[in-house]
Amino acid sequence: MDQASPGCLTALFEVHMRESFDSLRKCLGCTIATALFVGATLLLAQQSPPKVPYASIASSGVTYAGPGREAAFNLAGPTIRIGLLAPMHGPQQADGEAIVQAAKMALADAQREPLPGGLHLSLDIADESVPPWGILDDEIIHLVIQQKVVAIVTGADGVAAHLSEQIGNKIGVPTLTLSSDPTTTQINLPWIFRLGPSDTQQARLIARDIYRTRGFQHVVLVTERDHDGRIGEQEFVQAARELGAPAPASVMINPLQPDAGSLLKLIKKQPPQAFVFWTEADIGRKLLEALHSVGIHAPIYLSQETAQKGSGLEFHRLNTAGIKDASGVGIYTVASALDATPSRESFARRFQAATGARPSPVAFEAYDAVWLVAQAVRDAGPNRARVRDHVSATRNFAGVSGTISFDSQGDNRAEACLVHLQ
Amino acid sequence: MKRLLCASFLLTAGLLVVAIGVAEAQTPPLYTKWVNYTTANGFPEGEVFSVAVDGNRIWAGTTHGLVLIEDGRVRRVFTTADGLPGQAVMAIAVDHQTGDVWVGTFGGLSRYSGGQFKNYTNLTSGLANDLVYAVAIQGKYVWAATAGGFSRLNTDTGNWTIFNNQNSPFLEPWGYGVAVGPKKVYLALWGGGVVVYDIEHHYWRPYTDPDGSMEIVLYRNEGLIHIIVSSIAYNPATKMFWAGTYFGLSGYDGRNWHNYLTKDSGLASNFINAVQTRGNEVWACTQKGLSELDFKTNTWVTYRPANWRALDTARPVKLGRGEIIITRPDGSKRTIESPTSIVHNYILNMAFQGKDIWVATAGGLSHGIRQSDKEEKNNESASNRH
Repeated sequence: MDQASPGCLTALFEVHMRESFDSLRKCLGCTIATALFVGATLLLAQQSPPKVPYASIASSGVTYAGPGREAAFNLAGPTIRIGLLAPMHGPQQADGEAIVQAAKMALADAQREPLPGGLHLSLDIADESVPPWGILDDEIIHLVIQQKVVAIVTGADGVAAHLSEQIGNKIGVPTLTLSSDPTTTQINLPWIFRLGPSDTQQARLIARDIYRTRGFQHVVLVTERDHDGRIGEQEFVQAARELGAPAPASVMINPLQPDAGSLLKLIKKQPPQAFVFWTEADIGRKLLEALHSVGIHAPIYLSQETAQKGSGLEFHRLNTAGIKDASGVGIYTVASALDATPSRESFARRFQAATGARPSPVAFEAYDAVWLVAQAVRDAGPNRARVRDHVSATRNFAGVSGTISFDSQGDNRAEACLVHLQ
Repeated sequence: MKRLLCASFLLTAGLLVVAIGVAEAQTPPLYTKWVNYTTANGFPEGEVFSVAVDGNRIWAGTTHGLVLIEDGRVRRVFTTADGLPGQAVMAIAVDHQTGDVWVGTFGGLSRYSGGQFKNYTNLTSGLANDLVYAVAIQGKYVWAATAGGFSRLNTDTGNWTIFNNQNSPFLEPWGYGVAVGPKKVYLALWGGGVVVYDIEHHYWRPYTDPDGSMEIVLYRNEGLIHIIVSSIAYNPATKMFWAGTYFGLSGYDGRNWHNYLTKDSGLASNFINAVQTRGNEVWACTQKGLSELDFKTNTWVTYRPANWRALDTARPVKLGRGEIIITRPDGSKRTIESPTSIVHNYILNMAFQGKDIWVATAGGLSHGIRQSDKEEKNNESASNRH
């Protein structure tokens, strides 16, 4: 091995150190550049959401892998009960009576031909307008445990729909709801089905008409300070955002002390081009009266819940062209069906003969909900799990509210449309 | 010197790889023996919603009342005729200091003490609502998750406190689960995510779905997987809480979220009725079986009847052998059969008893007896050969 002198060694060491330092510097530069690149990429990736989400409920579908389909789980007795939640007093009483009337008509029609095994169907009605916590939940428990209902049909109230769903999910009882609250079916639960358009569908339909068809920009959204109002507001703001429209000016009404003062104050500053109401029907009526008294001339869009009978408005059909023509004043809401079918007309005629008024969208849906349960009992027997399976398999059923097909989440795929109110 | 360092580094790395490989190849301890309680041995028919271990006594909450099992036998079935406030028993918690058994029903809360039931309803007490979904003991306090919020009873003073969306940061009032840690209480809300209550400092910390959409999960581990939380459990060993939802499993370690869906884990179903945890284990009670995650090795084991698909049909089916599915971190699966089976695939809850487990299912109660050490070793060598 060659021997090197100390001076030579030092020089070699210095050269080696310099080289090492140079490569370290280069390496450090590279590392910083890479880190900056990675950081910027990560930042960009964080700012722009992925095109495809990591997972979605709609694509996974809802199944029920539980028990209860065996004959041993069949409900006993010749009378099979269907639970019905409807507002039976207070401002929504007229809507409740309409729901009950429609449900009774469906039950009578479904039993024109006797059910197999000598079965008989009956309705067990509970008042949906009572306080939800402490009374309504006890009523639902009574229906499920004591009355052993085969299914529950709920009215338009979102809280009642959630309570029925929560209990039904634990005990295993199907719920068919007329509530538009989309969160009831965004859970992956196999026990709930919605007949009418959800708040999401309604909000998109209304927003499209306001922002796209009419090209309006300045909109006032009136909601109620409760569960349904909050969900409605979220959905409409989201629908406006999806269309690239400016967020609506929001007014929130206290349901315990409804006062149109804040709304009138807001519109005095800048009259809006359109109004959207997401409130209960009686509050909607009060707000409409207040707007009428100050002579507002702008189209008013009501959620399906606002447009119930309590609003004091009457329904008549209007095609899409008619909506486009209505460039000025008019009151509109969302309904499931547009075409007049013989069954729809027959039901509407008989309903009007019985009550003196044309059925609201919710009354049409109540008829179909009870009819679907009755048919499920006829075909699948008096068994909650099999009735659930039968209802979930509903495809292209020609109901009075429209053509019903439930998707994997339990939402009705039927197209909704805007209708004109008087 | 350089060579020595290099060799040591290579040796350490090699050992690490081997150690990881061995750890991954090891089969986790399994439950291969099941003893079932059904109508055949005096157990009430229908679903078992809850189960609690009280020393050698087992309490089970069913559609038809509260069941007491002692020495492997159904000793007593308590119903509303015996004083229970509701027929469907959703939750049970044993106060190990007093020996009292707290029972949550669909008719109120009840305290079973000295052979008597003392009932609490929303008309007679500070119980927020009669629909009680979960109960937990925190020292002298009893927490109840109800459909109208959470109620806390001070058992020393008899005072009640109600927590709901009027006085707490809840998006919704609907309580669905409650778990207790040494310093915090973990609340599961239907539509409100997880809300954590700091016992000492009396403040709240809500955790909601970060993407704001109920129908999708935008990023895998961004936050709580779904805002409707069906159940919650706290693990003192790992200091993590675990939330079961109807769309996947979420765990939070204080810094990071750990989310699991069937699409990329051994979870049997995204529909989770309850979650329980101990040590490194997380147990998800799903509608398609009981899934256990070993959090340390990311290995999953699912238990269900081998003929589970037939159990959900309209015709009666006899329970046969059990099916055990082991899912490795790389996604590879291995299925083995056990001579006995958990009674049903639809799992509603579970509880630990030493090494054993008790499982509440829709078809009865199952007692899972962990395999012996000898069996465990056989399983390991079989697994290594595999």
